Amino acid sequence: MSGKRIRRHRLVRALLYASSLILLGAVIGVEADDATSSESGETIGLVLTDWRYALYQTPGVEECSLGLQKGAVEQFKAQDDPLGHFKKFGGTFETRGLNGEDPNFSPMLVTDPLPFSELKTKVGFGFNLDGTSDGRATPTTLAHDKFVSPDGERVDNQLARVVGCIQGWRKTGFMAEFYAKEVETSPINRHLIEITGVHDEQNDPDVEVFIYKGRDRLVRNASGSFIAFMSHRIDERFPQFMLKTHGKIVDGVLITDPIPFARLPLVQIQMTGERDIRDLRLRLKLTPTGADGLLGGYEQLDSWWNNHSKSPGSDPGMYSPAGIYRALYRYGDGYPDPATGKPTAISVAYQVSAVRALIVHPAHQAPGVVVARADQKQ
Amino acid sequence: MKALRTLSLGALIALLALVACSSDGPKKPVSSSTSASPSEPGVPPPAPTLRLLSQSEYANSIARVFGADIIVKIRFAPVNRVDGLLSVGRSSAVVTPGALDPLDASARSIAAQVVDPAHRGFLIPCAPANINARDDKCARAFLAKAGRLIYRRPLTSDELKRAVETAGAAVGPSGDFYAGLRYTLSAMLISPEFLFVRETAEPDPGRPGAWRLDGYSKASRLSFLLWDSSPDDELLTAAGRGELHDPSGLKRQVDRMIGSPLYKQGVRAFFADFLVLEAFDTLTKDPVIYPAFTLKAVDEAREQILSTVVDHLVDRDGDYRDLFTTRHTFLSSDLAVLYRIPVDVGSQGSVPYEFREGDPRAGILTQIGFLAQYAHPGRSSSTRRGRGIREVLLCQKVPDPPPNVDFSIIEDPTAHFHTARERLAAHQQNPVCAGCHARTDPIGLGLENFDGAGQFRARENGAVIDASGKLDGNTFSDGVGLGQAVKESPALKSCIVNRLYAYSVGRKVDPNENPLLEYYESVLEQRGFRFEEMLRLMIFDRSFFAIAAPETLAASNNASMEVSHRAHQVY
Repeated sequence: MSGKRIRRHRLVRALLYASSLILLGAVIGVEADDATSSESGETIGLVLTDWRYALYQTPGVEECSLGLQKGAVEQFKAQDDPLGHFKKFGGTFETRGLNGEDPNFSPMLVTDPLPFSELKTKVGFGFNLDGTSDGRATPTTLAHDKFVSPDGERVDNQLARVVGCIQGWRKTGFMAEFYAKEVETSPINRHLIEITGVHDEQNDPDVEVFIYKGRDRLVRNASGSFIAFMSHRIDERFPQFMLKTHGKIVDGVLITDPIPFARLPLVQIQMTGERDIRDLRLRLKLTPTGADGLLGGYEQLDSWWNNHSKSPGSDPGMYSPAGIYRALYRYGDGYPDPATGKPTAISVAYQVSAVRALIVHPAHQAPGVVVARADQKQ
Repeated sequence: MKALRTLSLGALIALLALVACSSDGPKKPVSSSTSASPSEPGVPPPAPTLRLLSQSEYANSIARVFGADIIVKIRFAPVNRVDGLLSVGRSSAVVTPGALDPLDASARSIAAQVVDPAHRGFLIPCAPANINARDDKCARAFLAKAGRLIYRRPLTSDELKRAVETAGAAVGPSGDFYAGLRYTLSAMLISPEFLFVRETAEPDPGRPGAWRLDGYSKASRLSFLLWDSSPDDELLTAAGRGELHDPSGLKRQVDRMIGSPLYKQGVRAFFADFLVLEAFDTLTKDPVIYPAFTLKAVDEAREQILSTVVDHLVDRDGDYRDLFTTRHTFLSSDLAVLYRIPVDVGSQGSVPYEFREGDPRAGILTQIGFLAQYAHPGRSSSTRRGRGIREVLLCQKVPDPPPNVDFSIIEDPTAHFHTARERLAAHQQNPVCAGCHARTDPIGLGLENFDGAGQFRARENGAVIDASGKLDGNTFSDGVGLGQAVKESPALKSCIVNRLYAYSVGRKVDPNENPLLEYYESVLEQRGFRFEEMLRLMIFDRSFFAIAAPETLAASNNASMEVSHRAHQVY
């Protein structure tokens, strides 16, 4: 590639960043037909194959003060005169409010007779999102306790305190495995990650990272492994799910800059919605056929609750909707409402896995065209 | 029903011993039908053939007669591949009792679907006056119409009379008119008249003493060759009118058939047979070594070969030899993984793809299908690939390895061979092995840049792969060069002519016919080896429908054959 062409390419990149801040709601395309040339670096495509809460778990559940959370049925049975309540209001164990309210819709009108099992471990997984070592309040965060990662880093993952003792969200739990299967089978949960400008897969200080919603299926082979290097087409119907950021690769680990505001498509326990995550970032260990690592940020409380309430999982998944709603706001640590001081988001880390993919850009555009959503600010 | 089946079995057994021919008259040279060259050699005409339908011919024929929504579920028993073709093997195949069971079940299933309420309204041309009673008029109308398409000729008056009577008698116990039709129809569908393509000869009135296929036999030969299916109504009508004996009438029908969408089906059928693509039915790889080589990828690899063939030979009207160098192909999602090429297509279908100049792939030899077909489950095989090229594409015989091959040299764990070339060089130190490997390995090594699943690789065990080789004096440096060498091989031309001719006449090529094949090759050398050109050259040749006179057959070790040729009495 000539020097003139390199300069043009960099100019285009700069324009893309600038326009992404200016052109609200617009979808823009940038010519990058030389994206895979040796001068501009190679491209790594990934498609996520697994997504679950990054939780520290022990076989004996020692990390939870009262063991696993009690489920909605047990909470109902622990109420005064549950049979009389049932005869009076009918419905199911879910309608256990004083006047038959459902905690999925009116969580603050329902109280739990059994206590919430608190996550007491100091060990956890996540990112140091607030930049502090002690979890003190900052202009965008509330004071909270930090976890210590296996690497000794002080990290934020307050959502682990909400779901970490729920049987259903722990590994092999009902919701965790149900959702993992939905990540595999539902094209709504098809998350593509494209890393461009890679000159060295082990160490590269300057790469660009794009996240798209895909539209194709994951395929396993006869031994049960996901097949790498399948073609995955970008679902251009959903520009709101197209994201971009800058990143670097350090010792084979992709580390991205935060994306200010990310919307991600979601089907979870048969409920369709979307995740809204502020400061979304990735830390993925790249392998020749895939990647494993963390995706994290501050997940918005309203959309999280919307995705997790009204789910059929409270009985088989063993949790109380009223309990987790209260815990959500009790532990929320991100982006406090200026008027009330209450949190609007909560730090989270998800453990994700991926296999390499050949990402296919829309056919009506020239090969190598990169599409990115302009608006990454809420 | 059991009686009907017994009847059909008896007829089948009798038919196996039957070859069509009748009275007398010495064979005389005949004039060319359309494009005969003055240099065309005269060759002794052969006997008519009796050939078992293939599975695809069976299914396509049912679709032809009753429509594509009639579900055909059957898997034919395998037949021997003879002289490189299953279709030739079918000319000596028999239906064993074990093979008859699924044919019987299929016949019953098809018949039940045809007469069920969802289909009878448009597949049966009339309705009975009383559904609970026999209606010979309606039964006759249906059986005469369907029987003509099933038997590929009009039923004889006796056949139709028996069929109508059987249908009527079957109404009695069941009290259902359509049950009677169902019983009779299922009997027709396991009749040898349907399951076997029986050629019938008749004296050629234009050439006293000479014999030819009758019109309906010509129609079947044309239809199974060009459409992989039984004749349609128009072709049978033309046959009945004698139009296929007339050069212009024959040309009119051939033009129509080649212009039909079904022509591609016929081309696919020939190449599926010629290229031994039934091997894909059992093709598997070690999923640990080749995790992307799934069953779906296998199906798509087979389809890629056929799509490339049809695109090149039909849509582009290309020269057959260029199949080994063409950069045009098609990719589908699960197959593209093995190529490491992104494709803008979902789980179904495929998209056209052209390999760039300089790409290590060009031609069908470098497609996943060929490369994986001729390889081991866990590694490549230059020997298998070389043998595949020799035997399938060049019609050259490579002997089987002896049962006591000594692999100790190449399996020595301390030997540290990096590449297949090194292993094979060591193996060839054994002079017993060297003879055959010298014929296969220098060819197959040209494809060593592709592993056992057909995926590209520049190195093997860290060593740069040397993919150079030689074929018939032509040297090459890689798989693309090998394709060019195969393209330029004289054996490639004679092989396709031989196989296509044998396929089109449904029998082994008689050594006496070699001058005819050499003539075809010389003509095609001038005109180009375009597939349609090849077909037309053979079909319009004066020899294509010629049949030996009965006494000639009797004199040439066919005395035991019962002479039965006669014109069918059309009802």
